[in-house]
Amino acid sequence: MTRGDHITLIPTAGYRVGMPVRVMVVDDHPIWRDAVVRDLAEAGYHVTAAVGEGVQAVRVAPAARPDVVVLDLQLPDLSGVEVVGRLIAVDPAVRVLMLSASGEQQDVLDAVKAGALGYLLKSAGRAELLDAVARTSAGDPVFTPGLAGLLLSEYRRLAALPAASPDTPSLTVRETEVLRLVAKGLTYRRIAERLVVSHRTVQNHVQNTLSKLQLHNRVELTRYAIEQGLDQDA
Amino acid sequence: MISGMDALEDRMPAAPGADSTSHATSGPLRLPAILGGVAGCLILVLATSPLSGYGDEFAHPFLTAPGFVSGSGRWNLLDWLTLLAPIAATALGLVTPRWWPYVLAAAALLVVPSVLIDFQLDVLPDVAPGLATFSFYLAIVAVASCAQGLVRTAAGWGAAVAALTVGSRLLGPALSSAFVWVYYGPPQDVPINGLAVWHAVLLGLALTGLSPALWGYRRGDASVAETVGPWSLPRARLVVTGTLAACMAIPQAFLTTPRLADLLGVTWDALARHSSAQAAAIGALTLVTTAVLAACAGLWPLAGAVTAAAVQVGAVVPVDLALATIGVHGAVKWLALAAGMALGAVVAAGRWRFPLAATLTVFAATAMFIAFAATTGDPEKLADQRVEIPGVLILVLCVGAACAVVGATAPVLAPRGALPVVLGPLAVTLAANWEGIEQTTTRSMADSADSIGLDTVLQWNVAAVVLLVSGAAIGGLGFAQLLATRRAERKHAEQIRLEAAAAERDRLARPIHDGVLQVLALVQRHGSELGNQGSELAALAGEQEVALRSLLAGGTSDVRGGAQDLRGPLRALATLAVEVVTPVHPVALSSDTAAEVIAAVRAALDNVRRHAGEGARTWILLEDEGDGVRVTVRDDGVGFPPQRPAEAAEAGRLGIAQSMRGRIADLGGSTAIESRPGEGTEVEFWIPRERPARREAGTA
Repeated sequence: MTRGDHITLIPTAGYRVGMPVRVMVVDDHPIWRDAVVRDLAEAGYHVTAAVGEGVQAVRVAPAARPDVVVLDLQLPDLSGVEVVGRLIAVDPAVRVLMLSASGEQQDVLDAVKAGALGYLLKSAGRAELLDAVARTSAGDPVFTPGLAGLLLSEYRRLAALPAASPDTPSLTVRETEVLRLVAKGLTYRRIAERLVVSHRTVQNHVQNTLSKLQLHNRVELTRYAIEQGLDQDA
Repeated sequence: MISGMDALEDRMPAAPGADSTSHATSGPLRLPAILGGVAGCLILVLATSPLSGYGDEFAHPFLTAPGFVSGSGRWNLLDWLTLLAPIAATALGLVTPRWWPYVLAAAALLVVPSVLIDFQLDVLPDVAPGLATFSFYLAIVAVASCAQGLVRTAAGWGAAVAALTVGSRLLGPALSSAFVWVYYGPPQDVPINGLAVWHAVLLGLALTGLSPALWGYRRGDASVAETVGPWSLPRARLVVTGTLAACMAIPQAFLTTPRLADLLGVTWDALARHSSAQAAAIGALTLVTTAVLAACAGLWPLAGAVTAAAVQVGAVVPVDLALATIGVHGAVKWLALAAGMALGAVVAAGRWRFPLAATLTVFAATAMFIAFAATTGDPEKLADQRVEIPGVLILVLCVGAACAVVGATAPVLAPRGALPVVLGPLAVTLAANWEGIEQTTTRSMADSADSIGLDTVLQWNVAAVVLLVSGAAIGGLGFAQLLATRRAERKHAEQIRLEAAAAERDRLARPIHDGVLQVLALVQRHGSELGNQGSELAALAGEQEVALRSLLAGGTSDVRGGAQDLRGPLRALATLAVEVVTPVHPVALSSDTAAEVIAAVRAALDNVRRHAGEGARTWILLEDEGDGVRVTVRDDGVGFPPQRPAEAAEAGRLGIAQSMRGRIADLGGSTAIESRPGEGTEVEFWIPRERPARREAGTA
């Protein structure tokens, strides 16, 4: 969270200990893209690709082998959700951090459900961006208050569905509590203090809320595919 | 007439080819449907025309649809058939409007026994008239269904076919000696006569005209299916009211003199002595019931049915006298009727059908008044003196007016899917009973019944007035249709305007998403690295970025009907220091409640600005919990110790807090304020969706 945290060399991906984190930047706005690439390179990341289109990103990804993708949600060709889905299909281990200028809520939610690990408004400062990339590369979801609010409302929507089955994901009381505190702008540290738990525990709770939704999304997609007979075509 | 023809010509190319058949002739004109409709009218002529084997008493009365049984004496198969045939046929026709070609084919086959009887071939001699009844009801509903489908693609042709249905019903009974000029009657000992031949020719023409439609719409007429729509409550209502109207023959058949006397509370011999009163009572009963049924079908069907019935009733008396005037000269009679039908069809087909149809009724009534004056108050003289020219004129005008008015109702009724019901059972039953009442009531004033059935001066004048009334009715109907069309057009234009506005907003939003917001974010990000002035620039860009984003987000509310999406006004409160967190879906509250909530949140923000200290940030969280809405305003400012409310009051916080609490309490909600020194303040509003105050008021 603090400025000091952001230089994160080799924090994760055990099989590549000692190597810099590989990042791909996908953004159609050249000035913005260049600025992000420069910031990341200065911070010690290895930017393996910087592209302006979704199709291009999906095509380049196998060669660029990024650990982290910094992805603009508004691309000229594909929707951000589609790009997230295809990137994860290519490499399930890839971690996607979404950037969005407008914060279009449904898009953000869909992209998170499709597997993106975090979301940041483009107006966030440079330090915030670097921090977010560092956390994403470590596998920690990047939760803004806005994203926490979206997840809260999505879980409420799922709970209110008439056909709520046992496998419909739901939040525990503690998870709800944590999400609400995030949505109210508290930092993980403050939340940990307030709930008298460890920082790691708060992180776990937040991660759980996200992964439950992503798992549910995958199950739903598979079920839909089977119902439509798409699995036979594959 | 010229303008009418022009309008008709205009419409033809504009009409899209609805059926996907490979007929070379069926283009946009839908020729099979038009031919089928005309063929259906020929079947109507056949079904209403007198059977040569049954003598002259079947020749009259016009409009009295076949199948109205007297109900006296023992009931045989024929009676039951004629009683129940209308109901079965009407229900069948109304349920299967898209299969009208097949229904018409069935109707054509049902008149075959009658035609054979003409040729002295006694096939099913007992039930043949009953089958003809069945045929009539099938045919009239099917032809109306055909017109219903035609109106959608070519309004003029649809109206023309609808117009011809009435002409056919007037032509049929007049056929008896219509074709003598073509085929002179054979000597008495030869069993074949002219009428029989013409029945056969008409049947052949009808079947030939029907065959393209039978082939072209072998999977049903999609055009009719589209106008009628899938099964729904309004459509079921139309079918049920139509079938019930056809059922009106049942009470009529069973209202025998003793039963009616019981009903009216008089002795039956008194009633028997005043048979016309009896007929009038039964007719009035049926008339009122049918009108109520039509009203149940809807306002438009009621107006259409009454208008169509009125013009037919008004036309019958002059048509009857005019036919008597022209006399046995079949050719003239037939040609005059055909000319009247053509006139009516052309008027109905044109764009000015409403004013022209009304004008025609005025012409017809004027001709009747002139005849009345010219015969010094005794129109019977026309028939006595056999003056053909006035007779032909009256015939053409009256038949033309009847056809034009009925045809003009088609474009009004067809879009509402009501054409088969209205022109079928509703108008037929109404007209038949109405005419029956008029005949009996006016006859009762005369001393003796005349040979040609026209009895009094009164009847003539009543008919003229009824014609005028029907002209006014069709004018009114046209005006109402015009108003309804205008309203629909205005609505449509409004819809288009809204869509255009939404598209324009999207069009503006896209470049803002893609460009302006990104640039502002970039300026904000890098400006702060450029020193003092740069920081100012960055702060400015940041403010504008937040303002623009909340503006874009606020414009997408889609909650309707006095409710408001709370997300919009809340997002508008976002600044660099205030972050607003909202759900994905709209949070609907009544506009009043939303305004109060926003006011309370503003008060809380005010509080933060005054007391939280420099640089404090605020988060607003909106949560929709189904039974209520929770809004939390949290800041990370200095906060205050909860055990010191007196100090807080002194500092002016309590005042603001009280005003917030008051607003929320008025909505039946609650406010919780929590604060710790150094940890900021959290204000939580809970607003229930159901206001408890209202429930209390309800129980008190």
